[in-house]
Amino acid sequence: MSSFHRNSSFEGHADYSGYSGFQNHTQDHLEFPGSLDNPGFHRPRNNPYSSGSRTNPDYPSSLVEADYPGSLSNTDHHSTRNPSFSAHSRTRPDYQESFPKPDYNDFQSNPYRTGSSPEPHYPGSQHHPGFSGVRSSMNYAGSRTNLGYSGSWEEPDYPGAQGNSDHPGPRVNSNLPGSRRDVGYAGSRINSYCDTLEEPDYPGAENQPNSPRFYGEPDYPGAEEDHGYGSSKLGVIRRRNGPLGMLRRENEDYPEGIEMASMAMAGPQAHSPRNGYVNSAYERGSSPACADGNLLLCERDWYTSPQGQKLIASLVPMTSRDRIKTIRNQPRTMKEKRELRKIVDKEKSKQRHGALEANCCAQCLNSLSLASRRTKSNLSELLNYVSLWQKTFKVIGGKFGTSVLSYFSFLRWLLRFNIFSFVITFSFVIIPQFTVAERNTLQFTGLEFFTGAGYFRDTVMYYGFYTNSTIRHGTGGPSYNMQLAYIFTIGACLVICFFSLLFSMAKYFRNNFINPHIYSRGIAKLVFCWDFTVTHDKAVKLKQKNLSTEIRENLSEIRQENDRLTLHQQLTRFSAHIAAWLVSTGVAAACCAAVYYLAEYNSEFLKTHRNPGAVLLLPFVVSCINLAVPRFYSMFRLVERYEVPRQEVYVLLIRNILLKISIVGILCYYWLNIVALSGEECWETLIGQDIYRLLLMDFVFSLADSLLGEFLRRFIGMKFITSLSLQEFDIARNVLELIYAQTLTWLGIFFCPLLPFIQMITLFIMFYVKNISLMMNFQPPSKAWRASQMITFFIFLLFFPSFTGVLCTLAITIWRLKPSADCGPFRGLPSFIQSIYSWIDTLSRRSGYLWVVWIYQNLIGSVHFFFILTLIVLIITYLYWQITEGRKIMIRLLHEQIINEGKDKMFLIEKLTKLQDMEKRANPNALILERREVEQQSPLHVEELNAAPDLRLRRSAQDENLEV
Amino acid sequence: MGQCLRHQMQWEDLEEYQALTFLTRNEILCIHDTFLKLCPSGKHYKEATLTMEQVSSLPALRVNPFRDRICKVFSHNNVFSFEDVLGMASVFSEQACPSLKIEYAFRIYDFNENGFIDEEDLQKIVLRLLNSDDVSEDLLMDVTHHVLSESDLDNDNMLSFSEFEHAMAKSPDFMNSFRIHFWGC
Repeated sequence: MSSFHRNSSFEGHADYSGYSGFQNHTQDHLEFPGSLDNPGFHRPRNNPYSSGSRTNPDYPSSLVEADYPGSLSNTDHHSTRNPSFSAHSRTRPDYQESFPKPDYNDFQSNPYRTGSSPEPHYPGSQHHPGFSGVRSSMNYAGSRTNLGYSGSWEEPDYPGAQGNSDHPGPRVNSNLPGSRRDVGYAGSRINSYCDTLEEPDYPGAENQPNSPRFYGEPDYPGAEEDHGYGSSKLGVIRRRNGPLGMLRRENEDYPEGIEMASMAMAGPQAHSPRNGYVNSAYERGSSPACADGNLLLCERDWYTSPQGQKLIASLVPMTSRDRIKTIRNQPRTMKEKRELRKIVDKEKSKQRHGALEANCCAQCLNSLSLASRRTKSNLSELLNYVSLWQKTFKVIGGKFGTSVLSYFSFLRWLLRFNIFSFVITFSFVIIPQFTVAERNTLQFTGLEFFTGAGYFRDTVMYYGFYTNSTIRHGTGGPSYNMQLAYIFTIGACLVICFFSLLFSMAKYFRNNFINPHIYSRGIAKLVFCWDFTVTHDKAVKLKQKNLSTEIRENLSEIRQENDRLTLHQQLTRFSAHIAAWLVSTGVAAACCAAVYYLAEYNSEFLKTHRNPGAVLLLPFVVSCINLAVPRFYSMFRLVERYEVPRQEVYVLLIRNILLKISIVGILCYYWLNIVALSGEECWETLIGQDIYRLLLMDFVFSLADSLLGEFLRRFIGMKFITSLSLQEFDIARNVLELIYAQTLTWLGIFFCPLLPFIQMITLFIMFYVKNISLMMNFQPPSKAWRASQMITFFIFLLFFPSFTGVLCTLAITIWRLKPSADCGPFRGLPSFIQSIYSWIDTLSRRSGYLWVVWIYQNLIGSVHFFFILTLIVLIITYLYWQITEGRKIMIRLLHEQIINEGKDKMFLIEKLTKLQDMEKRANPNALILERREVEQQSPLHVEELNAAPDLRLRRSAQDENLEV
Repeated sequence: MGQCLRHQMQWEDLEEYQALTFLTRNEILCIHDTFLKLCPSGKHYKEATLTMEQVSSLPALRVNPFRDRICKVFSHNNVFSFEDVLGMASVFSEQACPSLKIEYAFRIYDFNENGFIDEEDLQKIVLRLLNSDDVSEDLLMDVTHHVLSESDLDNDNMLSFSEFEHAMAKSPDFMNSFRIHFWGC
């Protein structure tokens, strides 16, 4: 901390040397584009300055005109800077007296200032920074390059100034460690000025003693520092600066930031004060990460700073993977990261060297790890390459933004899911079955593709085809119990799906619902979350237009919120909602009833009627319902008029999911209660066929909808009713379709193990169809979609009604229902689960597998175990809930604290301003006196001159405050 | 437009770039290609630089309302070396960690580079976002006012980095949208 102060105070000096700092940055910039060998000089980082100093011109002038009209008489100083210069030199006496003032103490008491005044004979300089210092030092820090350019600005200002006795010049240089640097750069840039400066002045000899002291502080990598700058290299200076930036970054705590900020606040009304705080603020803002300005400076040498050292020290003990990760996360340029890595590696090898020298083993390990890393990176490359549709995704993102992209990534996610399920079922169930497959005698007509019946009945596609025997090739070979394989494979599939769903859901929840209540309105999100992915010209224009309406809407919503609705309006709205809900649930119930009776009737009908196409009636009706009713639902929007668009989307989603899930539910009821108990031969296969048809019909419908409906709609929109324009891609409806299809797939996986494969194909085709349709027929959605939250919601939907529903259905099937007697792997058993029971029985007769039996009996089959487990889980949940509650309170308190902190700062600033005001009123003559003194100054007074700039700074701060 | 000498990237270099950025090998090679296409002929890619205009006319940035800011933040001395371009792509890549993205977003949005996103910055942002001429003063004031009232915790009428970070860390959409996928191949 203390070193920081010192540095900062030092910086104060630097800054005053850069007394012109405030005024001239801009010019400097322009004039010296990196002419100093300072590469950082021109970087954007430095611009803060220029921008900050934009307002500066006001400031000096105000200073000059208001306070020092007489300064003009100073003929040799002809630039705006001069007045200020004279001003501060003048202030010398003032400085002595004003320095012990109370207002200072205020600031000294700041955590930031503590221990900052160990400089015995330079108290002023120390205090300055603290006071105006908050800004001045920052300012300087921000401009690490200052040195570079504190020198440089001399030029523009004193082009013809050679003749002048520019004390400012010499002072600047001498004051700063920059003076040494002078040697280095003076040659190129400031030649003229070197000549002209009065030599005696220039040496600034007395400063030098000071400066070393400033940096030579203990926690500073002092020794090398001194030495470093003795060598007068720019780099050295930079390094010196680096630490400052670093330190600040580290030490500065948030309140301080606020302080600065509020300090700045004191000024906003005045026109000039900006400059002061701008820089400081800038520094502060950037500090958390060795930000821009810092970057430049610290570029080469930042890691020698304590902060850098600390970082390095923390990096060394990490594993190489973590280390790289941390380095990668540093907001620095590549060069810096590389150097950092090198240094850390060196450190590491040094350590290792000490530990086990020239250990062959270690080397071996090293090369091995390198090789493995390469392989791994190659592998991940390969995986990346394999990962589907990279390029298409980029195009979609570029044209439609993240929201539409989220639909496609959801689709891809589901596709992966299905590929995975297919691989499992294929390798553990289907391949073994192939090896014992009998010849299929049924004839193939082609209609089977739609009905799923006929030829397919006797293929691996359906449950009924699988054998219940133990597969054994050759005598004495390993045997494969098909019954167990079937139930375990499907079970494993579902369990893995369950966990991956659970984990991805948890991940999304964690990322997306961190603290949703804090920002209820999210205009900040609208403003800051520009979709950078969009790279298409038209899309950008459209997006801008949409964003504009959205922002307007949002604002008007906020305004509306304030004027309450009348009772009548409320009542109307409420009744509209009730009616809409009644109608929608009524429609859903009617659809369910229709589906149920149709299914029942259909099964009767099919018994008498032998047309194979007749089975398609039920899926057709279901798909029609799925197509039409959601569109009907979305018309409710005209009546309901939700104020919040998001609310509307959620309500629509809930209604749609209710409809789809209840239809699937009623079908499940029909399958389990009618079909399964009807005594049909091989009812599992019948269910499998039903599900296959539903899935296929749904696919056909979406295909038709995409190819016909959407194209037609565009055609109509373009040719006939131009007011319709292009339609928007309805993400919610499309995602719901995906969820519906996936539910069917999971449901059917037991009855039709090949279903994941079919779903895989349909998803694959759907991707291309939707993609083409999207590119041709749609425009990006106009509402800024909270894509990530929506996707979280979708995954939740996929998990909760859909997957859990499937699990329940399958559980009922497996535990309750009686498998058909003549087909399938479980033929002849009283229930599907019986296969497990008998397996356990056989195992218990073999001594080698008793542990399995034990696990089964005591863990899986035991009620007590589950009772205890549930209890424990409940207790843990309760504890976590309590912790969460506690954290919520904590968050609220911290929030309040932040706000109070801000108020405190404001209060202090006000007080400070008042005190300064008083101070100024108390001795209005001081200024004049000072000035006279300045005029009399001779080179011999350099000492005071050096002190004076600090004063000037302080003065400027005062002036600012006064203006407030 | 000439091309750089087609120096193949060394395996070591490539690996290093992979280690230091969030980019995959393909992406690096792709950016390398793009870079070579643009840069002046006869130079090794490590020494060559692109001007801000060249970079901001890349398809990825061409229509971005903040392209000049992005260029400013990521370039050095107003030019882009290959590594600067890589650094930029890395920050905008999907894998980049949130804190890094927020850091650079802050720099991009800080138009006057004073270390705060103040009203002036906010108004500039909104103007660029809406890109229409009929943005009334009232609307601007309204928006800035609301943004500040949402996110400005210490009531100093501007967003410091921590406030910005705080606000953005809550917004998963930011992470998703602060990305640029397409770097030219």
